[in-house]
Amino acid sequence: MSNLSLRHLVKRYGTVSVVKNVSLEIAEGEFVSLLGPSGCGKTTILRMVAGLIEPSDGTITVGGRDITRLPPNKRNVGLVFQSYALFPHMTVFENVAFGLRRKGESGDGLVARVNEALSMVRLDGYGERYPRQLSGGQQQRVAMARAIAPRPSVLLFDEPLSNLDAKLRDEMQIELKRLQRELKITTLFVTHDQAEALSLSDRVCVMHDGVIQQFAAPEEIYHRPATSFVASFIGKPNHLAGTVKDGAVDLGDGLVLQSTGAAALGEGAPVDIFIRQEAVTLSASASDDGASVPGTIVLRSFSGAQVQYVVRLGERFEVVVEMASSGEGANLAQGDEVFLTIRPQDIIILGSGPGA
Amino acid sequence: MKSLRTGALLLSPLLFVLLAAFVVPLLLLVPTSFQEYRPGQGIATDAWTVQNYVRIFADEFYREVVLRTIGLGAAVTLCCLILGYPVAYLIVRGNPRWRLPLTLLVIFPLMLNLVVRSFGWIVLLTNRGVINNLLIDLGLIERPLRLMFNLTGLMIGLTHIYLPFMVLMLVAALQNVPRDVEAAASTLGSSRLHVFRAVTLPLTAPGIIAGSILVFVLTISALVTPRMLGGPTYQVMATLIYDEYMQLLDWPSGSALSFALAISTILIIWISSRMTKRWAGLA
Amino acid sequence: MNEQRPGLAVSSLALLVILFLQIPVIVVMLASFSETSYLTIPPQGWTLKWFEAVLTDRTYIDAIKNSLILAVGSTVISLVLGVAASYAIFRKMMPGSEALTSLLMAPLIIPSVVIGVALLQYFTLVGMRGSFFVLLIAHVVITVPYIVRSALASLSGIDLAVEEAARVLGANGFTTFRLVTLPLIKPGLVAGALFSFVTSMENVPVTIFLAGPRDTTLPILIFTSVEMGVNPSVAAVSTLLIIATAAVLLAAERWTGFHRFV
Repeated sequence: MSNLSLRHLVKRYGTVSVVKNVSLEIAEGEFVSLLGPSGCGKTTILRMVAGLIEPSDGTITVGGRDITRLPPNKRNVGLVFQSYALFPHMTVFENVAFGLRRKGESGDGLVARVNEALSMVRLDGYGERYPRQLSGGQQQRVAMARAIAPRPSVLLFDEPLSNLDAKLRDEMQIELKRLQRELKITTLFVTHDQAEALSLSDRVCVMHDGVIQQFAAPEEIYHRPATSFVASFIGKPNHLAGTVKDGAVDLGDGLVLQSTGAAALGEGAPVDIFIRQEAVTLSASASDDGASVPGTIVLRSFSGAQVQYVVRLGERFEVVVEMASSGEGANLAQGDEVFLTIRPQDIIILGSGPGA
Repeated sequence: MKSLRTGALLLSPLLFVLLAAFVVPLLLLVPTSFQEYRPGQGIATDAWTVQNYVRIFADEFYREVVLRTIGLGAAVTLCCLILGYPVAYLIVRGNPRWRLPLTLLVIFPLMLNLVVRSFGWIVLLTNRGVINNLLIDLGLIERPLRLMFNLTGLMIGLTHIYLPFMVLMLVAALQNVPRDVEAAASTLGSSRLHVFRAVTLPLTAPGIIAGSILVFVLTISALVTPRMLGGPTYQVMATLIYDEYMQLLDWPSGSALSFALAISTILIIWISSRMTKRWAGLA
Repeated sequence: MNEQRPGLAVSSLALLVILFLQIPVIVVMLASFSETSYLTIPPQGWTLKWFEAVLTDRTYIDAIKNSLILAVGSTVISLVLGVAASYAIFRKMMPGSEALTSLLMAPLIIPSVVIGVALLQYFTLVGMRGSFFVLLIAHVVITVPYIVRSALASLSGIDLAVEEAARVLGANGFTTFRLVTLPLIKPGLVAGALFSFVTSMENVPVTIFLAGPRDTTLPILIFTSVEMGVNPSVAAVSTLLIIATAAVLLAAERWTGFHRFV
């Protein structure tokens, strides 16, 4: 087990750079997700770590050993593929034994370690089956057992849960997290599913266009996004734009929102603000401290635990607000005049315009 | 680069074999085809001539053989298409339980030795063969019909030999016709015949063309069956090449004819594949 | 909704055509058991004497032996060379993979008789005509396209990630090919090898120009002997070939689902 470090990693295809100078330090035993939309370069990074793509520039080290130019079979990494990539002509046992055999393991030792790996993914007794005889979730577990059996120094996941249905995906997430905590293997997990990344990871690395946007703990990513890309990619925030005026944000039309970070950006600076749907409270009357703004409900939709409202603010903005369906603000109707209250610290504010 | 070296290592043995025992021998036919054959003396190496090529079109005997080969190719292709379509249709659209046995019955003659298949037709068609004996025994004819060493024998034999190729091509084409489209046409009021003509047939056109090109090219290149059923007198291009090399030792004529035949097949395949690609682009 | 099944007329016609395809086979088999030296349907009297004649005749035995050695030998060589080349082409290890594929498939497009005369002339020129080795190489040339075709088709059906998985799990390139790629393309290769074997086994147009007097193959023997007229021992040896072909086809179908590869 070792730390994984990527330094100034670059991948170019012709004149197109898909990974642009990415540096990343992952501590021993840490679980890090690479999160981003498709084409952001996250899978390319993963494949460079596995040795399946050669970097154009930069270095990759595991536990201090430079593996940048090593072929994949000399790297001692485990990789779980999106398609699982199980060997269809081998039994589950042989699939899991494959990596161990390459390390010269044989006889009772081999059997014991295969069974141990199968037991870890709760597939005891499935050794003699063929992959095609297993469900999608079971195949996923075999792929995991196969990757961990040779005790790799780094474990890599390439969107491993994206082929499973929603219910199974949630189960496997928990399983995966439990397994990783147990084994304490340094893990790099590629996904485009933010909930998955946030719930599984110690730290999340959000990527866009081959560049790291933010590398931080899940809470910080969620509450204190570093760039407007992160802010708009994580959660489903409302995006508004305004200017700083007297330490608050002026949205025009006489709408002013109090925001903790506004003063720091300087008077008159153009800003983007992001407001999470669940950070807004709707009420029939204005709050005493003057921190609320008026709006009109244009649409209400009930979805079980939550009620969603689309609220019009002034002439230019519409925001989506999510309220618990058992709470006070659940019974407002279309056309109601309401007041929106947002705690100043819940408003994500970022300078806009060039250089921001 | 490492993969380039591995690639060269993996490819070079076969490329060497093909170069030494295919490409170079074929290219060496070129000079021969421009040399002059003098009966009794052999091949003259001192003079060049285009006479060997001119003869293919100018000489009456050669022209007849060439036209016969082309005509035979067209006729066999048409026969294979007409006989093959119902078979392919039954295999694809018929009872699924019969699908495998019927397919195997189509593949079986294909896998069977070509010489054996041609021999089977000799047994049937020869003057004292099964068919003539049967007809005489039934009192339908008095003297044997001439079924071999003529167009009839070659047509029957070649159609039989190349029919499986056509069927397999048509099966592949029919499998690509979505049944929903046929069903849609019949719900729109088409009769079965009209569904076939307006939907199935046009949608299988690429397969019909591919199968026809294949059968045509195979037929005009065929040596064994035309020789066995046509004998030394009823000649096609391939048997004429054979005779010019083996009997007449007129290699210059033989190589010119070989070139004409090879270029024709290459051109036909090249043009048809370009046409199919263009159609695929339109679709 | 009423399923559209072929009507009675179409079905009957189709079955008649399939029967037409089997007729020479049936006739040859019946003829081989016939007592008379000319052939009638139904045969007059049953006998195995033609089979005995074939199996005790050195000419036939040698021809069968030559054919088998040639077919097995050329198929094995074609398999090794063809699979190696196909893999390099498929992995795009060399530029110009399309041109390379065309070259490897070209012996299928050039009429066999043309290949035959070209090789005759060439090997006469270099003074190697009549050698068994030359015949073997010539058969490799005409059989290798079948191997290449089935290898390329099978390779394109493999999930690339499966090979990558093997590499990441510690297998080098060759081990990956041996343990993962090869077993996965095996059914296709069996089919390709069968085509290659059959092609070599029935070839006349190339063999007849190159075979030395001692290297006569079975199809050449049949091809030349029918010029003397119909002979029941030819029917007997043909029957043996028919039975062998049927057995191999059924076995291949059971093992690999052969009809999918045709």
